[in-house]
Amino acid sequence: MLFSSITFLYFFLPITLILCLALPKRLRNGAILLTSLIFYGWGEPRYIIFMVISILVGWISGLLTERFADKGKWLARLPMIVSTTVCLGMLGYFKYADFFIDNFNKVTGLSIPLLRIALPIGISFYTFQILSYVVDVYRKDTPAQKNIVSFGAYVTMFPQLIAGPIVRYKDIAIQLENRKTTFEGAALGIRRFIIGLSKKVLIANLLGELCDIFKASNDKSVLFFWLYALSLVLHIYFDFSGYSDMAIGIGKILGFSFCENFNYPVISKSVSEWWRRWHMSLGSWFRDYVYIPLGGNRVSTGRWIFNTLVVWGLTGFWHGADWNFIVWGLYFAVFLMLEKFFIGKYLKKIGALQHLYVAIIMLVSFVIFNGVDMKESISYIGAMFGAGDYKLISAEFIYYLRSYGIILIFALIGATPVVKGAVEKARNNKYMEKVINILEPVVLLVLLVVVTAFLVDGSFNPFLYFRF
Amino acid sequence: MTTKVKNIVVSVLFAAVLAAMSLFAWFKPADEYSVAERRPLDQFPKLSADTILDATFMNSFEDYALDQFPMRDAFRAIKAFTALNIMGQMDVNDLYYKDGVISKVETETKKDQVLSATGKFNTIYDKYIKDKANKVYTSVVPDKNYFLADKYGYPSIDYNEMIGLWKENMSFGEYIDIFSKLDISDYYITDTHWKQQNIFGIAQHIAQKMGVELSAKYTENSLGKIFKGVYGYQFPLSFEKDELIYMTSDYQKDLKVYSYSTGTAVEIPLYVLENAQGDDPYNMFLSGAKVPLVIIENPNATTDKELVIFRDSFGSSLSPYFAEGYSKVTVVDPRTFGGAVFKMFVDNGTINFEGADVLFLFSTTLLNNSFEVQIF
Repeated sequence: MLFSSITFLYFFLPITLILCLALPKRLRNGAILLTSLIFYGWGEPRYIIFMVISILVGWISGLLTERFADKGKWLARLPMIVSTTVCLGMLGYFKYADFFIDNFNKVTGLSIPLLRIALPIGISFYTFQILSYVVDVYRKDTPAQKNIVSFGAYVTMFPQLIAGPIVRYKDIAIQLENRKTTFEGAALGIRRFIIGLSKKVLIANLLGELCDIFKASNDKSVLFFWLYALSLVLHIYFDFSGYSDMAIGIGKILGFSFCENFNYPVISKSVSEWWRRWHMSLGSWFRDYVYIPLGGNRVSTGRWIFNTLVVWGLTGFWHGADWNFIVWGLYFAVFLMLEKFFIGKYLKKIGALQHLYVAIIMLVSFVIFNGVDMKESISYIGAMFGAGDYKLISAEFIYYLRSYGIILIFALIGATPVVKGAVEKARNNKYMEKVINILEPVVLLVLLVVVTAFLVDGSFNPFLYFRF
Repeated sequence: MTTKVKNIVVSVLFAAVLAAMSLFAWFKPADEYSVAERRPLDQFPKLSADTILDATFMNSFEDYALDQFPMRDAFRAIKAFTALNIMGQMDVNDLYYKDGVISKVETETKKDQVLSATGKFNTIYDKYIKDKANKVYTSVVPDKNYFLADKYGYPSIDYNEMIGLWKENMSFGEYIDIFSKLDISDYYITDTHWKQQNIFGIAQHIAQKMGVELSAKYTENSLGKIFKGVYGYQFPLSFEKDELIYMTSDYQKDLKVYSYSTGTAVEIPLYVLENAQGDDPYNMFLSGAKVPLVIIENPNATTDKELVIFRDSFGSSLSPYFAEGYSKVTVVDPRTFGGAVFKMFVDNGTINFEGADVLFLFSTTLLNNSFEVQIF
């Protein structure tokens, strides 16, 4: 089930909020677990079993890790190794098996049939949450959760289940047992949820539509490729950060404080800054559970380069089982190394051009990310820089620039902290604060109605014959 | 308003909207059919262990929830208003409203579609018409974009390219240009089609090129009700109104009109007024898209010539005019005709090309989306 659907908004969410807020506190985690399993099983109910196995493995491993903590290094590590093997095994089977079989076939000339298994939704997210939990228990950063229902609620929690942020158990362990629901928290959560929903439906979906139009167009031009790349970056940003906003917002309504996942990455002045602002929960996960255990940056230059390549190769591979994702990750590794060793000191001297530098790198990176394969990505990037038999400008480019221009402007402004900063500054004035307090419910209501209108219109599906 | 009060207002308002819309959605009686979309709406899906386990219940429920959402048309209007007036989009679901007319964006000439259509027509010509017909003529009806797109910056079919392809690949027929004889006022505001009352001049022009003079006097007849065409339903901000008018003349009283929807002839009126009460009133002209073959016989025609017209729905309102000058007008709609059935009608003489004039008359919209052409 998607947050940005009528089913979620007007069928699932009202019932869920009643259950999770109105039941006695001792039953609320059970309600979260139950509703989250329904949410998860909505698309593919058979995969609930794999989630339940992951929960049981994670929960038992946490308990055993804690019990064996003082029984010797290897005994304490054993449950962690078992749970890591089981969870990564499932992730590998569902997400990566066909990638490896396909490449093995290409190398050996064999024709082992692909498994063609549907990927369980959210498996990359909940696998990482369980892994971090067991490792944190092993490191004694958090006590093991004794209650299977509470642990199940943590893993399955529907707000962040399918698109993050990757919430660490230790960050919400106290809230799982004792959380407060207040009007202040609810209002903050509602505002965040509706803004996230609007980002997804009113901007990301429309820019995604523009990307699809571009791909289907037979009237491509160099500038149309650039328009596609810009729309793509903003589409992915608003889609992903919109989901994170919705997750954080629903979490707030339910009394949880999830970690932030995005912090206006488009204002970054370097690639390394971008990654401190983009998908922060994934970045910090790889930092804490891969990069630092490998030695981090307190190692020789050669080893640091190796560590960086491993982390970014894995980061790319986490996003998808194809070479373009791995190349996408390594592409960033290259720029991070370049910035560290060569160009970092010069970047600070070029002022606003730093943004242009980051923008071009990101536009190219997401063309790689979104390519059907590397061949398409390379041809698109080539076309952006004039390598290809394309005219500079085309009629369709002009039309779609006009048709989506205002949305792109909204998106570019919304991707920066300008509006947020202006509102916060205005709130410092008592009179303006009152005005904002009056406007806020009105704006949120209008946004909710407009979002609903866009979702409802999505179902309009006229029988094509009647065009003639 | 203090922040504390605002927080309460936001929370209560959100809960109220969610609760109200949820209750409305759960308890609103389900609608059966959408006239705007010409399709039945999804109903509450079958609930069973099997449909849950194979996820068909959930998938069907998503469709049901969208199809049956309360105030669907009002929400669609809000979406259209927002997209056009706030987000600055040029069209809504490919429809736009300019010069008081609703039109649909066609971004490009689909060469493969045009060639697919002409390929099928060439097969018909080679198999049935060659060496039999008196002469073959072809013509193409422009869509509304021809008059609006350039003026307002919308992409459109490259009409020169399309007509070039048409002429090149329909070289067995003499091309009759009608583009220059039409303007946007000849089309309905809310529909794709042209107005019958405006196209007698087109019929005269085509007939003259085929060697037949048309000069009858016609009377305008109104159905006395508002005509809302297909774009009128699809474009949710449409408040424009059309009036469906059909043209009658004294000579039409002696016409015999036969429909062959089942293989055997059934006599029907020239204008099937009961069709005008349905979802697509334009189907009143020769039964519109509902019948693959209609034959009009005029014992008092000004010539004893016969005419076979291959047409889409634009041709259904134009064809009656030709009955004045042709003793028999055979109107074939290749969108609804299977190849075997067509052959049967040719073999049994119902469709007769011997000595007849043949006219291929299609709209640019159909040529650009020729998957609709069924024959062969």
